[in-house]
Amino acid sequence: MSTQSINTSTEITKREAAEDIFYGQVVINWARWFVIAAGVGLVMILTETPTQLAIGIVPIVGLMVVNFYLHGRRLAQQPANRNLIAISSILDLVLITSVIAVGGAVAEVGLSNQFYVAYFPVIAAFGFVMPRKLTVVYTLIAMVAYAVTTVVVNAQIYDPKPGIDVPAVDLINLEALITRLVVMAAVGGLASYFWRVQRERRNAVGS
Amino acid sequence: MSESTERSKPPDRKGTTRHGLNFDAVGNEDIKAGLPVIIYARWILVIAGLGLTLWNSTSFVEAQVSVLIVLALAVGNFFLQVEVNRKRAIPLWIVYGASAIDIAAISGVLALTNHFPPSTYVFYMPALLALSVTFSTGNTAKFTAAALIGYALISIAPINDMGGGSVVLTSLIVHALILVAVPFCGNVYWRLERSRRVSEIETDLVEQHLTDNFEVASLGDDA
Repeated sequence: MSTQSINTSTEITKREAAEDIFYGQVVINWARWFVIAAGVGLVMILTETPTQLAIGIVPIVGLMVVNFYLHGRRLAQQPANRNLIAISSILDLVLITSVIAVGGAVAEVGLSNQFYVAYFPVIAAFGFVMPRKLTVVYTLIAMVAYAVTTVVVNAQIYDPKPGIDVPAVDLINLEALITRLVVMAAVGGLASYFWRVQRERRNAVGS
Repeated sequence: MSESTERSKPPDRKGTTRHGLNFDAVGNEDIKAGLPVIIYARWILVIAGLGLTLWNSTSFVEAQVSVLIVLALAVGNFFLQVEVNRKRAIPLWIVYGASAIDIAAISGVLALTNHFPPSTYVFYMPALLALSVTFSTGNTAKFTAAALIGYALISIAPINDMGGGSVVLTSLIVHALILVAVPFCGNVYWRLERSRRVSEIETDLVEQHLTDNFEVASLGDDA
């Protein structure tokens, strides 16, 4: 009897998770459209030659194709499964981080690159749809990717002084980085918290 | 007679009264459910804002004003937190007013720093996300528009000082787009969840109605 009830409870939880993904994935699709729009704006304004334009626009077109496929499936009532959504969401992070690492001009690399703001809708949308553990992992991946990109690839966080071997830490840049990381964590946390609130409310209606 | 009168009524265009239940109440329940998200978002704003101000302020007056704003937000949020914990009803105007103050406070601090791109811009994100999952689409749109207009106006002076340029323009466009994206996604989710919950309530009511009818029919047969 107790085994049966445990199985039923697990099945309900699984069904709820599947429904969350079924209904919620459109939020991820919308977040990705905004990232694509921001990317198109970035490429169109900052590139100066046809080659730069071609190199810049290809990954964005790729992401558009992915989003056409996923959003189209959702509209046709054949939404993607959890794995496909997770892979496409990781692709979002890869694209955003690549833009931050490579940039469109010399001044637009690493910490100076304002494309980091694209992390926010993507993290929020993921937090609305996926279970808490996955959201934590996803948010951490985004935070680590951004921190590593800024610190290692760009190294703007350091302000080396001539004649000193150990680089001094540039407090202004470090403050900006920490603020952004804190807000990334906050957005993921708030989205996941609201996801739990909504699930509890639905359960309350059901019971 | 009364049944025929009921049937001849025009359909409820707003869809607020289905199965005899007023779904307007769902709106207030939404605010009640979303209020803790707003409160937590404001605590994040208070803690991170205070840390940021104490860590690195360029001028003493800027630091003083920022600390005062943050402390005022903390006092207001403490009041809301206590009221929520005591499960007491909070008037709607206080909830809307507090959110308006959040947006105004972030914009105020941005105006004080007079720098583009500002490091405090990111604080719009948790604030707008929280209100987008709490308020209706119309109200979310109003708050977002206010934040967007405020941010654009505040950015004009530092951008002029910098002499403009395509990099700055791109940054402004990307910032504006994401300022809309976060509350938009939040509100899409809010609407989805609302419709899911309404369907659940409707299903429950239909089930209850069928059960009641079955019981009445059974009693009738017994008689």
